[in-house]
Amino acid sequence: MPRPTPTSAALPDAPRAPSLLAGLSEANGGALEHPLPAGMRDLLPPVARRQGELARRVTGCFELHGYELVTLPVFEYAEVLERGLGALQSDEVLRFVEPESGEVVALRPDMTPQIARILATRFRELPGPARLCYNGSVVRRRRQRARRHRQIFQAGVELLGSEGPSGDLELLRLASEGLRAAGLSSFVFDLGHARIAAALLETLPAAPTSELVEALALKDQSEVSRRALAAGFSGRTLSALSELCELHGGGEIWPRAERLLAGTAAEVALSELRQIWDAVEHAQLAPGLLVDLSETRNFAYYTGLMFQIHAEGPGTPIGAGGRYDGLLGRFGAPRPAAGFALSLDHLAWALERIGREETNEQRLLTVGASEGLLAGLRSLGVACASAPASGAEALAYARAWRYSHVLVVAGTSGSLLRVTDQQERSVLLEPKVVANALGPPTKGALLPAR
Amino acid sequence: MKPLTIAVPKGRIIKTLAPLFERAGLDTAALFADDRRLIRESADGRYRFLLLKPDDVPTYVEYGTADLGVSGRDTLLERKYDLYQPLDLEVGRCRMVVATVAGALIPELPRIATKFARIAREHFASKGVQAEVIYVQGSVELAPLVGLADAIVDLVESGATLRENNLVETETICSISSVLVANRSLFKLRHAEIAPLIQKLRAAVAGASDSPHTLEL
Repeated sequence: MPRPTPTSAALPDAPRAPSLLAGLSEANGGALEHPLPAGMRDLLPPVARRQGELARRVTGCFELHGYELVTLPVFEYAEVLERGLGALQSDEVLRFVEPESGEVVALRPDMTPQIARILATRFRELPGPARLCYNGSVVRRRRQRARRHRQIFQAGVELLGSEGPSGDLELLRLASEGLRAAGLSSFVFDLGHARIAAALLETLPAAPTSELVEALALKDQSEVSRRALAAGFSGRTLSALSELCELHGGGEIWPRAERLLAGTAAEVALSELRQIWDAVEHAQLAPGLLVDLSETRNFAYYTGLMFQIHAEGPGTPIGAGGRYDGLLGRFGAPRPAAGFALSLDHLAWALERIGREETNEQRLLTVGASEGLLAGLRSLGVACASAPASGAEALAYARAWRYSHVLVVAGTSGSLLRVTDQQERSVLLEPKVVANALGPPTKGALLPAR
Repeated sequence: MKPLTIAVPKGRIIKTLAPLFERAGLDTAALFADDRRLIRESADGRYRFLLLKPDDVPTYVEYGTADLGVSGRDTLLERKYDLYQPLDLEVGRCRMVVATVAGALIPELPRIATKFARIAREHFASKGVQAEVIYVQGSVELAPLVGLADAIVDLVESGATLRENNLVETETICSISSVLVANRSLFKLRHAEIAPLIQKLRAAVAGASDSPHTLEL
């Protein structure tokens, strides 16, 4: 395709000159130099397979617990989606005008509002609780840093119509099971409660300043004290707000937290959180358990338990969730709701960090095999395809496209070559015999720690 | 056990930080070793220091390559990182101010020269003033003198540079100091090591504020 000239781009009937074409290089035969918008990426074969496997393990675990899979549209009317977003997320939404209707639509930045919409419209009359799970990508406007891809792969669950601690505990148990099903055995649950800071802040009639909420989220104690004082807080509430910033850690913080918040507006929420903590600890749901009382990120959205899941590796949470009893009301079907989502990218990163053993899939490249043999192999679950060439070229092809074995058929006999060490053996041309000769998936090398 | 990794700004600020770190029980000899290594481990093997340009500290911490770091509030306000800021170290104190040529009036639609574009924009926007913010890298005081801008937004410690350039402060936007920053996830994962360190640092800061301290930036 020729490089568009300024004149052709200016012609009314000419296709609009997309900026992509500016990247067409004649030197490399017209290939695109920058074929993707910043923040978007492809997942290529080994990574995509690994991620698919991870998603299957996690959603398989969700399904075992009675959560049914739903597939949701990639974009929806912005007005509908944004009803169900936390206030802090509205600047992360990628919106555009749909040409046919002239309506503003948004690429889903979160799947929870979509599930809320489904419940309020399609499953409204069914007895609760509804248990639904999903697996897909969400798109967020990229902030500048820290591995914030625009497209984020998630797997998550929603428990709709189940109230209070028993529902909360069901979710935490499921998160724990999901992570273990994915192969992660070392992770930390960090529990918080949306009503602790909120109840303290609401003791003043004026809405709390966003700066004060932000300072709490940053645990910026000196700034919290300064802003809280300026906002007019006093006495126990003032000292409670300031000390919240120090109240994070293990079980040792409870006595201090309970003393600090006794008699304040946050007392009820604290005892609710303590109940959940005790239950999680008793059931040993997570190898590491922490509590954080000053967490205020997205606290306008949550109404009860909030939690984050951490693991070594990504430097950012691998999952998060909580209770948002106000959500379904925004869709006209008020009832309690809670859920969580795991970031599959971050989960994969954490798994690589602990050196999870990868199994190398058996993939067979065939030279001269009949379609009947290939079909027989496939029915036994062996991935196979014919080589485009024979001899050394077939071996090079097998290496390039990650085949584990090459089967060369000559008349009625076959020779099976293992690609890694070129060990060769002759096999009968029977699907079962060939499949057995491939052996079980080999344990691959430990993935290098990043 | 893996050492705690602390990102520290290279340069003069280290000299004000070192006494705080020492009072908190950190071995800081490695920080002053006279060489060009950018990664230095304390003799007891408990801490690893990354010596960075001040503006890069929050980046290393946000990405989780350092557990903790020391950064100025100016950088944090300007670039809005996703971090915890659990402790104000109360060193490197200065102010973010608006300044203009002595006797001059700032017009209705001012042009503002600054290295802190976001802070300047948000400050004027919060007052309903549509300022045109011009980003400059340094020698900000020059801008109003030669007509590039009507005023500047900049960090001021003693005010000497402003006075020498015939500029006066018209507003203080906020006060600035160095704060301890922590990666959100590592703060949780290594809580057992980080929390006691913060407590010791907090005590060290409280001890320091009882006595007059020198200002350095």
